[in-house]
Amino acid sequence: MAFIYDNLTASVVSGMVILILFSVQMRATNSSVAQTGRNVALNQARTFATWLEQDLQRMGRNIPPGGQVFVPPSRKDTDASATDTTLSTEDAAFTFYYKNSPSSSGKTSVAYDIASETRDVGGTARTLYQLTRQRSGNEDGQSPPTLGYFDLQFVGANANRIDPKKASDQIRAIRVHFSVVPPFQNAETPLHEVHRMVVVPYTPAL
Amino acid sequence: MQQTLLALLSLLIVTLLSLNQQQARIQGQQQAIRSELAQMALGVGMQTMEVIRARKFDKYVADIEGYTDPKTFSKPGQGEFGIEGDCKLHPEGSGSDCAFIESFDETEAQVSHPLPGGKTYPFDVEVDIRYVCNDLEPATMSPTCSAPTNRKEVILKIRDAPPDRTPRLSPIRYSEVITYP
Repeated sequence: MAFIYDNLTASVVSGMVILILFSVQMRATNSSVAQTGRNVALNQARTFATWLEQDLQRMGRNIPPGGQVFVPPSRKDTDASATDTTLSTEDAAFTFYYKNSPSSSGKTSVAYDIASETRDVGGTARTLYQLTRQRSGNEDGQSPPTLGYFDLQFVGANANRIDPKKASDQIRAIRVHFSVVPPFQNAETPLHEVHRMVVVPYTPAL
Repeated sequence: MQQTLLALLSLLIVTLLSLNQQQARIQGQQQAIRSELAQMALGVGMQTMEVIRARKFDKYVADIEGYTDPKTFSKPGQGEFGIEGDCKLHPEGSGSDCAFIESFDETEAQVSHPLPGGKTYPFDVEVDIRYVCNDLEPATMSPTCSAPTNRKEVILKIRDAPPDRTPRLSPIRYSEVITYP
């Protein structure tokens, strides 16, 4: 005690220095956690977007005109989505078909099955989605388990939405909206969700 | 006196360290926002590209089945590229409903990227169309071919257009070559 009173100024200043260093260290740790979470979400979003582009471009390939190319998806409302909907987790999965070559005997089917789960994200309960791809009935690929929403739309020549059940001949492209939520978040997280829009041409029979 | 000066120096150093960290954090957040905007701009570019790709390659392509000689296609600089005003780039957009790829040349429009909660974020899109040779060199600059050719390059320049502030992004260039037939 006597030592502190003998060096009062130095004691007060060293206390402040230690406090500031502690806060700097805490902020650096939080920032590092937030950055890691963001990098995970960015990598997952990039990989998933590329994967979707390549997969959806197969839709209808080598299917002769008039053949069934896809089974339209059903949707349900969700406020978290940029399109106000997400593919339904309950009804039949969105399915499309293609053939490896025009002479192939059977069609390959690809189905996007969506499962939902409520998880704690940064202290808040949030419904997250995961897409499972099934090729000819067998599981063949999955999305990250932290999709904030996933919706797929058919669009026409002016990027207008087309109802595939009523006007499938007007479809010109397929537009997918999805988001990936960083798996761990804190106060330093700059963006709590990574939104992506992927558009691929609809060219069946090519 | 010496002890007090040293104490003040240490305080100064940790304060500068903290300030430096704060600035790095703000820069990191701004970079994250710019990077996210760039990805949104890319999505807008992909959608706009499909709008243009959905059009007929050229107004002189024959309506009936068969091959049209590319030498008969629209020629740039002779009033056949672009239209009076702008082409429509999305359903809510203004402008004309253009039917041919070359009509989109010099179109400038605002296209919105949807976000949750009914919000949107606007982007300015500028379209340029030009002929390219087989080696993808612009036909106007290449000694190997001259316009018109059977390849049109669609160049999109996309930039964020916030209503209440200056844009954060430099224009992003996104291009694709569309080939006839």
